[in-house]
Amino acid sequence: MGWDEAGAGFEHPGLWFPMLGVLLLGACQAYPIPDSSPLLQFGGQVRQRHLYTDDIQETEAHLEIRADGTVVGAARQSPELELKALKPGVIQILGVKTSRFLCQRPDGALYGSLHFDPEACSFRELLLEDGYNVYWSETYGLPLHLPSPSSPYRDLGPRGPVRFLPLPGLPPAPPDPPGILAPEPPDVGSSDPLSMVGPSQGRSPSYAS
Amino acid sequence: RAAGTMSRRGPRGSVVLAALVVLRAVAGLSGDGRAVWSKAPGSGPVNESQLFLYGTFPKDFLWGAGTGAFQVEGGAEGDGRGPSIWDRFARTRLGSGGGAGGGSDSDSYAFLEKDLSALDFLGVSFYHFSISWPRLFPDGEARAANARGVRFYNALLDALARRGVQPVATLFHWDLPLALQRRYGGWRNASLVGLFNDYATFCFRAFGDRVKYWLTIHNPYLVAWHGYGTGAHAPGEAAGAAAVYAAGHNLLKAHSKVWHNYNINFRPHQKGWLSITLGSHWIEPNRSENMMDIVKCQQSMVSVLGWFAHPIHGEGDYPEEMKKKLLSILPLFSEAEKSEMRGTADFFAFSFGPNNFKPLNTMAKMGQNVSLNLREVLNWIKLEYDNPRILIAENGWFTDSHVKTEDTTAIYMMKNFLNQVLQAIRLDEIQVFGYTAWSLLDGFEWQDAYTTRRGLFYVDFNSKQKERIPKSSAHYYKQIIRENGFTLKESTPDVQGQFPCDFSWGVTESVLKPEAVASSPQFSDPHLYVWNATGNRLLHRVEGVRLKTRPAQCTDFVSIKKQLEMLARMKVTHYRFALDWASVLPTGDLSTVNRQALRYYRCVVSEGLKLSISPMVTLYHPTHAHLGLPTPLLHSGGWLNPSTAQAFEAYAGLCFRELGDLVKLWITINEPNRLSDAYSRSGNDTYRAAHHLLLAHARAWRLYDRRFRPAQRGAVSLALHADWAEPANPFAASHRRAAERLLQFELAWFAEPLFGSGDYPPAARAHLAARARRGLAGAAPPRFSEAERRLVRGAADFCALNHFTTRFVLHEQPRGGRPDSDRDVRFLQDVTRLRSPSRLAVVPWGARRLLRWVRHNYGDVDVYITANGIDDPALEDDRLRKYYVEKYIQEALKAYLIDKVKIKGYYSSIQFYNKVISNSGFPSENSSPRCTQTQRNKEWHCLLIPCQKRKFWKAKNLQHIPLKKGHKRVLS
Repeated sequence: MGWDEAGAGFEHPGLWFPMLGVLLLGACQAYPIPDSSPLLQFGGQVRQRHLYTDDIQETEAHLEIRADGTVVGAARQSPELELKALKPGVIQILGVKTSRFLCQRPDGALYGSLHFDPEACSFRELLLEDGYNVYWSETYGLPLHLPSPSSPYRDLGPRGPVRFLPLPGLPPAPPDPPGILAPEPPDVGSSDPLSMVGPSQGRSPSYAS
Repeated sequence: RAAGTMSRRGPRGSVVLAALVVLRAVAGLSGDGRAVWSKAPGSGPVNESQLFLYGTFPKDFLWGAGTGAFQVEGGAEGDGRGPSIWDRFARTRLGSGGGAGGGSDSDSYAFLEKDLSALDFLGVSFYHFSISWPRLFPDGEARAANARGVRFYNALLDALARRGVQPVATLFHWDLPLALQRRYGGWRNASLVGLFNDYATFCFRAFGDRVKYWLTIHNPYLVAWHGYGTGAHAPGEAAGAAAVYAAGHNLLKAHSKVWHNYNINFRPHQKGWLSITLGSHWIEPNRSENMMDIVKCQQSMVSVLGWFAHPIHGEGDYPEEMKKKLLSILPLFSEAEKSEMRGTADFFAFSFGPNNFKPLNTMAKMGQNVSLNLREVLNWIKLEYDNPRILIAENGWFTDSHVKTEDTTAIYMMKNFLNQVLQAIRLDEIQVFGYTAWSLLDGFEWQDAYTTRRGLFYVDFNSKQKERIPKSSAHYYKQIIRENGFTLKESTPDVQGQFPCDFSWGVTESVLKPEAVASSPQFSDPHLYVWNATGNRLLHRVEGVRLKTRPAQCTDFVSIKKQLEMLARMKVTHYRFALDWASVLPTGDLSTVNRQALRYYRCVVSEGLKLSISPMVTLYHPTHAHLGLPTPLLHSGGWLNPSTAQAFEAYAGLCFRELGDLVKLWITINEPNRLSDAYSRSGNDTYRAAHHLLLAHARAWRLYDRRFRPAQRGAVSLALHADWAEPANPFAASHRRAAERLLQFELAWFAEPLFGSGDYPPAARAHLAARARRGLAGAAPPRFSEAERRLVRGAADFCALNHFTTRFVLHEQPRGGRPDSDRDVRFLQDVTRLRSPSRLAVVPWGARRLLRWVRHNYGDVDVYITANGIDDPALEDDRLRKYYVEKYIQEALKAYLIDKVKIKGYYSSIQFYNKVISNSGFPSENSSPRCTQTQRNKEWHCLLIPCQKRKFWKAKNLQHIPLKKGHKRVLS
C-alpha cells in the first residue's frame, strides 16, 4: 500500500486554478507571510507541539497522553507532543515525555500506546483556514476528539470533529529553584535521629533509566 | 543600623549610634540570633563551608568527658549520703532503684579507680563531674559535712591532679537533698538561694584549691520545666506555669549569688572561673527565609535558652518576648537585682543533648522543625551574647540499652557534632575552648532510667565488678583527642600525572531506543504536491512530475545527530550505549530480525566513528522499569529459564556479525549482579538467575572468541555494579568482615568465576553454609558443572566496573527473610559526608580502594570504569557533579600511577539526567588521539557554554571502516 490510493482521494482539479492564482498573486505582490500562517507550523519534518482546543469543549484543553496510556484534555499546558509526518498528509503523534503514541480504537476512543501500530496510530491532518487543524484516524476515518471530562471514557456522544490548534511549545517552565530543601526534621526520640542506618540494598543508578 | 552610623562620621553619627544603643538596652531586644536563619541558604551543594572540615582544634583546646553524680555514683544510703529527690522519684515514678543503691548502677563511689582508668584510656584533659549535695550534707543544710563524702571528692580531685586532668565541677546536677524538697518545696522556695550558697561556699572552701572550673547548676531549664511543669523530672510536680517560672527565678538568683560569693571571697586566691551550664535544643524554620517562621524560631530559642541566658549573659533581665507573653507569671527583677544578675558568668557553658529534645510534645517548637545542628546554635549564642568564650559542657546522643560496645551510630553522631564544633571555631570564629563528651559511663538516664545508654564506656549493671569496657565511640573519641581533630587520612594528596595515550574517555548512556521509521517520506516519495490552501486544504499531487529520490541515509535519524553533536562537544573518545534486545529480536529468536533497528544502531556507530567517537556497545541493559527481555523470553521465565542464556548467545552472535566490524568494545550485560533484585522472591531464584546470566555472558564471550575475534579483534566483558564497601564501624571486626562479605556477594560473585577460579567465591559459599547450619536461609548457590566451569573461567577480556559510591556497612545479626538478608549487612549513611539528593555518598577514595581490591584479587587485568556519576539537580551549574567527577578521576589516576592498576578507560555516567548533557558537561581530557600534549591532566572543560570548536582528528582507522553506501556524515 502507499499513498497512491490515498492521494487519489485528493484529486479535485477544479480547485487547481484558484489556488495557483493565490500563489501567483502572493509571489507578485510579495506580501510578507504573517506569523499566523499555518505554513509556519512546518518548521521541520518533526514538529514539537501542544494540541490546544477550545472547540466544542466547554473549557480550553490540551491533549495529553498520560503515562498510564489514558488520553485526557488537560487544562494546563501538557507535555509536548511530537508530530511527525508518515506520508503526505498523514502524521503520527507521540507524547515525548511518556513515549506513548496517540492511537485510536475502532470505536473512536483514544489511548496512548508504547508501540506504534500504523493502523491505529496514523492520523490524517487537515489544515483549516483559521489555523486550526482537524485530525482523522487514517484507518477508521473517525475524528480525533478529546473525551468529555464529565462523561465516562467510552461514552462518545455524537459530536463533530474537534479542531485543534497546534501550538509551538512554550519554553519549559523553570523547575523549582534547586534550593536546599528543608531537611527532614530529626527523629529526636530515636537513638538514630538522623536516620543513618538504612536498608541493605541501595538501588543501582544504572537501573534507574 | 550600620548604615545609619556609617553614613556620616562625626557627632551626628555618634548620636544615632548612642540612640540605637540606648534603644536596644531599654528594649532588651537583642534578637541578633535571628540572622542565623536569615542567611541565604548555602550556596550550592559543594559549599566549602558546609563540607566536612578536615583540620585540628586550637592547640590549647580542652577535651573532656562528663558524668552526673546521681547517674553514676550509686552508693546512695551508704556512707552517710542522704536521699535526694531523684531517689524518691526513681523509686516511686520510674519503678527503678536507679542510683539509690539498687545495685543496678555504675557505682562510681565504689569503683573510682575504674573511672580514672577510663579517663586515662581516653586521654582527656578534663573530667566534668558533679558533686552530690546530699552526699556532703544529707539534709541539705550546710552544717556538718559528711566526712566520708568529703573524702571521696578529695580522693577524686587528688587522683585527677596526679594525672594532670583538670576537674570541671558542677555543684548541682539535679540531686536536690530530699529534705529540702520536703521542708521548703524545693526550688519554688526562695530559701533555696541561701541554702545553695552555703553549700557552694563549703565546696569552694573544701575543693577550690584544686578546682579551676566551677559550674553552679546543670541545665536549670530542665529542672524548672520538667521538675515543676511537666513532672517528667524529680520532684515530678505539674504545678503550673507560675511554679515553673518561680523555680527558674530562684535557680537564677542562686547562681548569681554563688557567682558573687566566689568572685569576692574565693577568686582572689583560688583564681578559678565560674559559670552555669545552660542547655538548649535547636530549631529551624519550616519555610526557609519566611519571616514569620524565623520569628517563631527566635521565640522558641528565647523561651528556652534565653530564659536563663538573657539575665546572666545579657542585660540582667528576662527576654522581652517572654515578659510580653507571660506577663505577671514571670517574676520581676528589680533594678538592683538586674545589675546583680548581669554578667555573672565567666564563660558560656552550653549543653546540647537528647534531654533538651524530649519529650517532644513538651517542647516550645512553635510549629517549626527541631534540629540537631550544633554549629548553628553556637552561632546563635555568638550573636545573642556578644561572642562569649564557650565550653561545651555536655554533648552526645544515646543508644538503645541493648547496644553494648558496638555503638556505631554514636560514633557518627559524635563525628557530626564535633565537626560542627570545629567548623564553628574555624569558619565562624566562635570561641569554643572545650568539649565534654557525655557521658563517660553508662548510667542512670533520668526519666529513661536504664532504657538508654550514653556512656563512652559500657557497664554491665548487673555485674559485680562493674567493669568499664570501652565502646567504639570511646576508641573514636580517643583518636580525635590524640589527633586534636580530624586529620586527613582517607585520601592522599592529589597527584599530577596523566593516563596513557590510548586511554578512553567516554560517556555512558543506557538503552538507545531505535528510531523505527526514518524520519521523513520526503526523500522516498518521488511525487510533487501542491497545497490547496484556499480550497479544500488538501495536498494534490502534480501529475506527471517525478522527482529523484535518494537512498536511506543515516541522516534520516534525527536523534543521532543531536546525540553526537553533544558528544562531540564533550570531546569524548568513546560512547557507551546499549542496544534494545527486545527491539532487535522481538520474538526472542532469530526468526524475526528487526533490520531497521540494527540499521539505526549501525548508524549511531558509524556516524560516531566519523567524529572519532568509538563505540562501546552493551548488548543488554536491564532497568527497574523494563527487564529488557524480548516478550516471549520474559513469558517463558526470563532469566530463571536456562534457555534464555542460549537465546542471548544467538542475539549476541547477530550483533557481533552485524556491528562487530565497527565495534571493538563489547559489554554483554550491564550489572547482572544487580538484576537479581528482580528475582528476589526466594533465595534460590536469586542465585539461579545470576547463574544463568553468568552462563549467558560466558557463551557470548566464547562465541566471540571463537568466531569473531580473529577478524574483528575486539574485546568483550560484562559490566559489574561495583560500589566500594567500608566498615561503618572501623573498630568492630564484625563490620570489617561485613564489608568484605558485601564485596564477595556483590562483586566477587561474578568476578571470581570469570577472573578467578571459575566458581563462586568460597568466602560467600562458606557464609551461606554457616547460615544454613544455623537453620537460616535455605537457599544454596548452584554448582558449576565441570563444563560450565571451563566455559566461565577466563571468559572476559577486561574488567568493567560501574562505580558510583561507597557503602558503609554494618554487620547485622543473622536472620531469615529476604534473600539479600543472606549477606547479614545493613548500610549506614555517614551524615557528615557530601551526598547527592538520592543519598549517594561522594567518597572518591572508595574508587581507588575498589581498584586496588580488584588488582589484589584478580591480578593485572585491564580495568574500565564503565559508569561513574552522581545525580545533581542543578539546572545549569552542576557543581556537585563537577566536584564528583574531578575527585573520582583524581583517585583513578592515583590508582593508575601509584597502585599500578591497569585502567584503560573512564566513562562518565549520564543516565540519571539525560538533560545534563544539554545543560552542562563532563570534564574530559583533551583527547587527542595523537597525544601530543604533555600536561593534559589538569584540563577541565565546562560545557555549559559551548566550548571552543572541536578539532577533528581523523581516527587512525577511519579508512578501514567499511561504510554502507549512502551513509553520510551527520555533522558537516
